[in-house]
Formats: sequence, C-alpha cells, structure tokens
Amino acid sequence: MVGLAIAPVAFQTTESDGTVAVIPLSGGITGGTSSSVGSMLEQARENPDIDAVVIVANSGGGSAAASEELYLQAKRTAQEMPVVASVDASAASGAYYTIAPSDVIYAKPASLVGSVGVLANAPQSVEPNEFIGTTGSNKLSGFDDRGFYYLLENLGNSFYNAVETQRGDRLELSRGELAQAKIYSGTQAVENGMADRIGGRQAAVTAAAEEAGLENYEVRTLRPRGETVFLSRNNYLAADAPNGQMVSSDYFMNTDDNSPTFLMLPASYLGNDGEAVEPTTSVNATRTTTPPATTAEVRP
Amino acid sequence: MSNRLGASGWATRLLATGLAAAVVVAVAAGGAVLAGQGDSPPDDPLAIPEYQPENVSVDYVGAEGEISPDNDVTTGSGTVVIDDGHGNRFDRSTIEPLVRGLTRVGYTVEFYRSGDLADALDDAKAFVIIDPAREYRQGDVDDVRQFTGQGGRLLIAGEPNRVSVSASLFGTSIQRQDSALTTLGSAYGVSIGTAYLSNQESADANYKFIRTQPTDAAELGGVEETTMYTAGAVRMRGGETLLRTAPGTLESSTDDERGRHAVAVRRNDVVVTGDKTFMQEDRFRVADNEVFLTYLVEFLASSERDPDRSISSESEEEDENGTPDGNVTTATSAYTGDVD
Repeated sequence: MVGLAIAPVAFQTTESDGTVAVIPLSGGITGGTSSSVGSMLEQARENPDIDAVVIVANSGGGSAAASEELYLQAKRTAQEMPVVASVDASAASGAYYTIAPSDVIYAKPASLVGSVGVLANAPQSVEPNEFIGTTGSNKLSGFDDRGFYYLLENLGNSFYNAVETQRGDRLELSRGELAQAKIYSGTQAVENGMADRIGGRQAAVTAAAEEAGLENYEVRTLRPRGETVFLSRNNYLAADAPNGQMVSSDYFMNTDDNSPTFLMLPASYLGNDGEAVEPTTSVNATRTTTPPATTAEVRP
Repeated sequence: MSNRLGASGWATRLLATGLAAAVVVAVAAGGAVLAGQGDSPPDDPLAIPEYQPENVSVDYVGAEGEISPDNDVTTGSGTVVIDDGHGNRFDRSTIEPLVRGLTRVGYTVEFYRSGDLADALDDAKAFVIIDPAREYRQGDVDDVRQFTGQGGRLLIAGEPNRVSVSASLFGTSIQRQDSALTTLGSAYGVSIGTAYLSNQESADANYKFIRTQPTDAAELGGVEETTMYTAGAVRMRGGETLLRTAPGTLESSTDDERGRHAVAVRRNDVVVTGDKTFMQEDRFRVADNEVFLTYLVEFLASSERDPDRSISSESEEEDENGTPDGNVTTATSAYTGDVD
C-alpha cells in the first residue's frame, strides 16, 4: 500500500520537462529534402511539446534554392526555440547553410565543414542557330557570359551574408576567406568560428536541453518522409536514414537540359556514381558536349 | 568564440531578438556587409536583411565605348604582323577589336603562319604575339630581337596556365595549357606567372575577373580602371608598370602573397600583358578596356622602325635601362611587377 501511494509521486518527479526534437539532414539536398526537413522544422515550431531542436547534419549540400529554403526554415525555428546542430560526417555548402542559424554548432574532429559557395554549369553560347527560334537573344542560354557570373555572385553573396549574419563575431574568417569555399575539419572549423564546439550528437542534445532550460527531457527523433538519396558515399555510410539510395551527379546536374543548375555542394562530390573526383572541370566536361570537336577553356 | 547561451543565455537571446534589427544596422555601420533592412519592419521575425537586394547585388561594371586611336599619334600607315605560327590560341573574336583599331589608323594586318620569321617581319612595323602554345626557337627569338632592336613594336599577350576541356564524338579530354613564352620572354627579361590572379572584392563579378588600375606614372590616355579575365602576373626587368591589380589580389598558387601585381608592363618598344581576354569582342568595352586597347593600337601604330638600325643599339639602350629605371612598382627591385 505504501508503495502504491509513493509510486505516483516518484513518477511525477521523473516526468519529462519537455522534448528535444532531433531532425536528421541527410544526403543530397533537393526539393524533396527541403520539403521533408522543412516540414519537420515547422512541426517543431508548432508542437508545444517540443522545446528545442537538434539538427544532425550529414550532407554535402545540393540545390541552391532548396538550401536557401532550409536556411529560412532553420532561421525561423531558431527565433522561436533553441536550435543546436551536430555535424556528423559533413555539413558542407548547402548543409552548412541550413545549420548556420543554429545557436551552437557541434562538430567532430573528422567532420567536414564549410565549402561556402555556389557552383553551376556555365551556359553555352548556342545562339543564333538554325534549329530553334526564340523571341530574345538570351531565351536559350538564359544569360550572356558576364550576366551568368553576376547572377552566380548574387547567389554567393546571399550565402555569405547569411553565414556572416548568423555566426556574427564568432566567425574569424574574412569575407574573402569565407568565399574561397574551403572545407575544414571539425577541429579547424571550431578554430575559425565556422563551428563552436567539438562534440557529437549526444553533446548537442544535452546542450539543446540546457538552452531550453530542461532538466528532464525526452528525445524524439523525427524522420523524413519518403526516400532519402545520397550523392556522397561517405555520407551514405555514416547516415542512419532509411531507404538510402546512391545517386550520380547527374541527379543534380540535369544533363538533359542546357540551362544552368545552381548547386551548393563541394565540386569534389560531382564525380559520376558519387565518387569524388578532383577537378571542377569534370562538371563542365559533362556539359561541353554541344558541337563535336569544340574546345572550351576552363581555367583552374 | 563559442556561443554558449545556457538557460539564462537563451532568455537573454529572446529579449535580444526584438533588437536584432538594431544589431544588424550596427553591424552594417561597422563596415560589415549588410547595409539595410529593406522594406521589412525592424521587428518582423520574417525579415531577411541578408537577402535584400541592396545587400546582395553586385555593382555592375559598365561596358560601353569604342576604340578611338589618335591619327596624330600614329605614323600613318604600315603593317602589323600577328603571330599564328606557334600554335597561338586566339580566334577572330579575340583580335577583331584590335584589328579594327589598327585599320582605323591606316594599318594593315598580316599573319605569320610558317617560314622564316625574319622575312615575315621584313616590312612590318609591329608584331603581336598572343598566347603561343609552342616555344620560340632560338632563330625566331633572334629575329624578334632584331626586329625590336630596329624600333619595331612588340605586343605580347600571355596567359597563366589553364585547363582545356575538349569535347568530341569520342568523349571529353582535359589538357593543361601553358603560354609558351619562356625562351622569348627570357630574352626580354620578362615572365608571366603561371598562377591566375584572384580578388574576391575587386572584380567584374567573379574572383578571377579582376579589376586593374594604371600606375600614377603610366600615361594611358585616361584609363581609370580596366578588367582582366584570368590574368597572370607580369614581371619584367627594368620595365614600367602600366596596369596593376587592386590591393589584396592573390596569386592563386600562394596562400598569402596578397598585394598589387603588375598585369601590363612596358619597356621601350615592348608591351607585355598577362591576359588576352580583355581585348576580345565581348570584353573590350568593359570599364576602360577600350581606352587601354586604344593605347595599345597607338603603341603599335607609332612604330618608327628603321630596318637599317642594328640590334646593338637596342642592346646598349637595354644596358642603360637594365637597372630598375622606370620601375614604378618598387624602387629597389630589379623587377617591375614584384608584389607591392
């Protein structure tokens, strides 16, 4: 009888103060990723039981537009509750963009962090030609050569601004250094202010709970709906998302179309079958296939 | 450096959220990137100042103007030979503005493709070399030296190393391209860097498309700023810097060699540029490129070459100027073009 009387009291004392939601950001960032991860961030904001969010990043980035959407979602969430990021294998380019609004970014020594920038296949000069009629001189290519680089720089500036705004004084890289788009190890990232602390997922969860003032808390891992695709084999091996599927760079590059695809991911991810290749020129190699025997200069 | 907020820190952050706009303005006032809030009210949680056009857009470098050489400066008529015999990498769009300027002042243009270079230069007033793929043999070097020794004008437009992607029905291939100017360049004490110059802040949109300015001593007919597209640094013994990069320009092969690099240098009858793209059809009007190209046209078309003049006279002149005479980049260096 005594035990029965005490038991509810004991239950009361161990009851959770709230919930830390863990949101995985895994694989290449596409419109689908933006939709699924974005919906999880939205759910975290709307669910009164969730007090803090941990974004576990394991992605090399992807589509520029999708990455921007995720940045906005993460920023909005961070305005309403503590958001802490944990970098697993990598948070490069668009993935780093996504976690930039986090209050604290944890990385492991072997995590890859950075690659702040945009790349895109340059438009080919295809006009005038005798096969397709257009109403305007840039209808086929979309840009002239200089116009393309101005557009690319605008996308880059948005990215740099976002990182500088979110990291503030913690960032010890100048604009020029940031824009070089280097990839750093987790240790280097903590040193240069791209990340805050060395640690893994558990440390991030603990920090998020502390930020939210939770002593006893539940950890609820939200899962993306649908299938997750991976561009990088390294990320695939380290990720725990279900239905992981490897894709080649063509998945992002849309090689059937001449129009530029703006990507926020390291160029080394753009090899076929997800295997890393060194020069960026491979991107253009797949694109410079218009007339036979033409030569395009791509300067290193 | 870390942003440890803690429980109390988070409360502080919540209080500070409403002041975020003021913080952003303060940051902007301190010289950071963001300059304004756009149309969003200061306490709007959906405000995205980092995306506002005024904080993102890149100032467009204007592209207008035409080559307008002064007939009073030029020597009336003559022939300019363009080298096409050393695998030179250029097409019509590269040279058309230059040719247009030369024909305006009554000059004709011929190509050297093979045979005795001395014969090809026999009646020429000026010689133009653009991005050769093959080195000059010693005989060719001697011919060019004799030509400039007689007062012939020489324009060399080199490039840093590049990677060429070739596509054909049989697939794609990647080749490295060098400007083969070692033997000829060494005869004139000039070298062009193999690494491209980059500047993230002073550029025509892209970090490899750098803005360049004339030195105070250079008389380029009113050039205030030009642009060069993947240029190499030019270093020349005893030369005068015509154009140099903005401060903080990085030579890509180095981590910290930032400074002002010469990209166009002149010594007597020789001008060397570290880029050829600035003169091509879709770039020669950007900034004051057309004014600089006008200078080059006038330089080529004001040759007073005397075929009877011996090469020794130029050698004597070179000895006199072999010291840093005319070196406006550094007063103590033997080379014009050392990083300033």
